[in-house]
Amino acid sequence: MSQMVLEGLERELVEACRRGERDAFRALFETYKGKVYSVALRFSGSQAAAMDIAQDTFLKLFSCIGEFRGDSGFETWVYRMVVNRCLDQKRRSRRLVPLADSFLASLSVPGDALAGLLRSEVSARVKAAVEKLPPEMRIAIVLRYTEGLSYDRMAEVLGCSQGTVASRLNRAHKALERRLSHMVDRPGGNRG
Amino acid sequence: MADWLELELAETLSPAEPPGELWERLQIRRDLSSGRVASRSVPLMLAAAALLLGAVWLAVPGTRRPRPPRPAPSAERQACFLCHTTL
Repeated sequence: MSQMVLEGLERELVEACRRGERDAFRALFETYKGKVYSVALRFSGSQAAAMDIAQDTFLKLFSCIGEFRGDSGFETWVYRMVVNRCLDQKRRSRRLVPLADSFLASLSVPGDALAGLLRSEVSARVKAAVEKLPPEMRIAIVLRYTEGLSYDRMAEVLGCSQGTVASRLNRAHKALERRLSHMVDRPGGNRG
Repeated sequence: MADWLELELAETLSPAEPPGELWERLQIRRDLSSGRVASRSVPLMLAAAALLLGAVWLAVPGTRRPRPPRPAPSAERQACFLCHTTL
């Protein structure tokens, strides 16, 4: 069933964008830039790739806004766009940028902050483990933990059933546990 | 799922602010693509104008040169034509 879920201000913004009003594009960009960039960054693991994905997403969004029919929420539509760009980008290229980015990031870590170093080391390992997940599992993890989407919202965004979402998340969790379990202190003193 | 993993994922994959230059990059890309469209449409417009001029030239009788009169068939050819024509 078609459902018009656009509300007040957002509806006006979308209409203004359809008329080509520059201020409306800017307002829409300000509203969604954080979500789009966060998903792109957490999926790709690289600032450079995230900028490319976010740029492509907004260009596509601005050029296709006339095609938005309001069958789903506008936010869901935006999420779908960035998810598709993420998956496309992964298919198109096997970039070495994440390696370069992490190298540059390591140069900027202050040397005297041991706790900070340890924290960033753990964070880097978690990121690396997430980046090794297959794309469909990774995007599920990103939507869940970066954006905090519920299973039904994720199903709507990814175009699959809630059961599929649950299965992908479950497999992703198991894979991550396997890869990261060596970092955990166990009661028996078994630490990798 | 283990609690430690949930916490690590929530912390490591937390939302991030995009760099301020993202909007500027979008503007540059939009300007470039609109410029590209404009430069691509120039040859098309020239071709359309040439076609239109050609059509006008053909349609308006005063713009065409009068055809030279055909030469009269020679006597020999007339004879052949008469002999080889079946009635």
